[in-house]
Amino acid sequence: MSMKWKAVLAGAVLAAAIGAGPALADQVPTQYAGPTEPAKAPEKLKVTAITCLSILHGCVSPTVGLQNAGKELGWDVTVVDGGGNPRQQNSAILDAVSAGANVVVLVAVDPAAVQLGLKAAKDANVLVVSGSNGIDSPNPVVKPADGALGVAFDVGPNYAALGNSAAEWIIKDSDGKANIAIFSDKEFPSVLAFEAGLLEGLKKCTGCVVSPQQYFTGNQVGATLAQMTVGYLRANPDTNYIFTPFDPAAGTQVPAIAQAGLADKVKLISVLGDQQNLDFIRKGMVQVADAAYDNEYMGWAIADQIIRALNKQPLIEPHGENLPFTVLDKTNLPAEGSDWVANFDYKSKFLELWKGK
Amino acid sequence: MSNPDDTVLRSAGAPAASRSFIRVVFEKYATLLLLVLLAIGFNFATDRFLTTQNLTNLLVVQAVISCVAFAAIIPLIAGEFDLSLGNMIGFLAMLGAVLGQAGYGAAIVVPAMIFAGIVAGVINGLLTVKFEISSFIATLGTGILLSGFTFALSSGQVIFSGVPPIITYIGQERFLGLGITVWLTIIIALVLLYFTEHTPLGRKLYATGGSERVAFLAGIRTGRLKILAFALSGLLVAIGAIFDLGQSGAANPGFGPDLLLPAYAAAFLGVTSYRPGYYNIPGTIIAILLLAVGFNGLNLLGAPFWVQPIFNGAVLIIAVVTARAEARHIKK
Repeated sequence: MSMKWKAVLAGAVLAAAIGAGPALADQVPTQYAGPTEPAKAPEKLKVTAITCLSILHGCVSPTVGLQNAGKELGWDVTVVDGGGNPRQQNSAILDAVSAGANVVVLVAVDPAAVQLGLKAAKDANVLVVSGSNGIDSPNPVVKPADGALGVAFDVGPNYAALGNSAAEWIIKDSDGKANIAIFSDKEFPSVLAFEAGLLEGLKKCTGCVVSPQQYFTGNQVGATLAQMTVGYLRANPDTNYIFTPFDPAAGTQVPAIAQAGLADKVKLISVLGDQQNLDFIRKGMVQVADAAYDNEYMGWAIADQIIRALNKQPLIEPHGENLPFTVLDKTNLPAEGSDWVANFDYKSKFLELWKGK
Repeated sequence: MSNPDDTVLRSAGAPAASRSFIRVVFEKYATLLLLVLLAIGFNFATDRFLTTQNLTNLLVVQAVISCVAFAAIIPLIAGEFDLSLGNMIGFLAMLGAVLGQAGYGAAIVVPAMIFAGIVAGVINGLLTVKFEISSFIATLGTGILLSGFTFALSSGQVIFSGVPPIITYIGQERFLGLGITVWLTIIIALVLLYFTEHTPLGRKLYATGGSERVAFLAGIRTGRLKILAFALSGLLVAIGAIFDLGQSGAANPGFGPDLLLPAYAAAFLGVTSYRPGYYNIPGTIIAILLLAVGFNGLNLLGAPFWVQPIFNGAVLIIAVVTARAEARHIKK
């Protein structure tokens, strides 16, 4: 066989392989859809970003984006660990106020549970904003309870749309025959918004079976979630897909499923795009897809909305600034060791708006 | 005219007195000294540390952990552990939030939380005393049970609406510059100090913890006393839960267990000062403040998140090792 024919054959095999798999998930939006109105950035700003828990990559990566944006603007951006509990998160806000921060950014920290800190910030005239909570547009807006304080805005992806994309991926991958177990955690509004989109999307699949939600809480992740998952799979042997609402939870489920000898019976999909989970996909270890969003963009979008809030300009609608997202699978994973980021240059666009270049 | 002999005695006694003072400081107040040195160090490192705003903020977030630490040391004084404290505070806060969400006011919510705390404490006491289960295991069991009740009450959700305004007022407002919860914590500490050190009941608690057999032979009803210690512990946890509900403005089903280890760390560190070798209230307060100053100062300096647990662990180990060495020295 000549070299030319070998190349044609190899190309055909490759095309067939790609075609046989699920759809190469699209990035949404496909090009820059962020703000276009200029907003002059203040030159000196002291910002404290409080992570939900600094050992979780998803809590930290938006703050890295914020630090990168801050570096370009000459801001002093400090990152503090929220410790995964409201007590330490309240304490971190109070310390930020004491340290003279102009702005406090809460990353996946529920404002409803840190009222002491929010009150101190309000009394000291410190702007408090958040990211990754899913409590603001384009997600359903969650208003503070009567007499409670909230944040100026929350930047997040369109969780329902991302959930819908995940549903489409599952339908395509299963040829419309998924028997899916939905694991859920009601503590987080972002999870509920995502789940609404996922369930809406799965309604289109007439041949799919969707379980009632299997609820767990964050502090069960390291303790009982793995057993709970294996128990569910043994009790429901027809299950061939598991959906888990965030990657750290999937991180405990995947090894448990593999150790229970169920790895070839079930495929797992989760959310966030953490490195460990992308590695599971890469290795073909239970997890096959991950609904991810660009956390670097989130940091830049938070910086953008901060500038507008301080300038008393109208905030960009939706407040999530069309944060890019996608569903990652084996066909579109980022390079090993890297987070997924949108494939267009948004940083120079933001800098142009902030610096007027 | 003074006697020359007196002058000689005084001049010889002065260095001895100062040596004795220094020895007392090192024996009884090394942790306090460390706290002062740390505060001075942070003050040099950042001008944001020694400000009224920072110090009042620092104190207000210690109210909840102080209540849990006090709740830990009462059974410890009687020679028992209570490992249910973390889950108990989570359960009681959730109970208050759920009752508030159901429309009940503070007049129902506060007594219900306190009653539930005392009942949980009494159950711990009965399991330990009447059923003769090790308190370590019994309270671990009740703690896990309470965490299940917390999940059941909350359905796994954060409850943030309907918290009675008086509870949020107590949690978030100030009086004479300090948080109301700080004032209340000071009052609780003073009451506990008086109870443990100046009442017959308090002394009996120490006697029971020192040697239950000897205390029993001396006529102390050690069983009843232990049940009382657990009930008091439940009451203190309930007060901490009210403070927490007020400060957070919400109850999270995952809240609570993370408080257990810091509370015990403060209790163990407290043994090194005021009355070395004994669990005591002033020593525990010094320990809480030491850990709090470290946390706050490191935050103000922008230290990476992994520095704080290293600091807390190192302080605990160094203080306990120093106290043990000092205790051996005294025995010799």
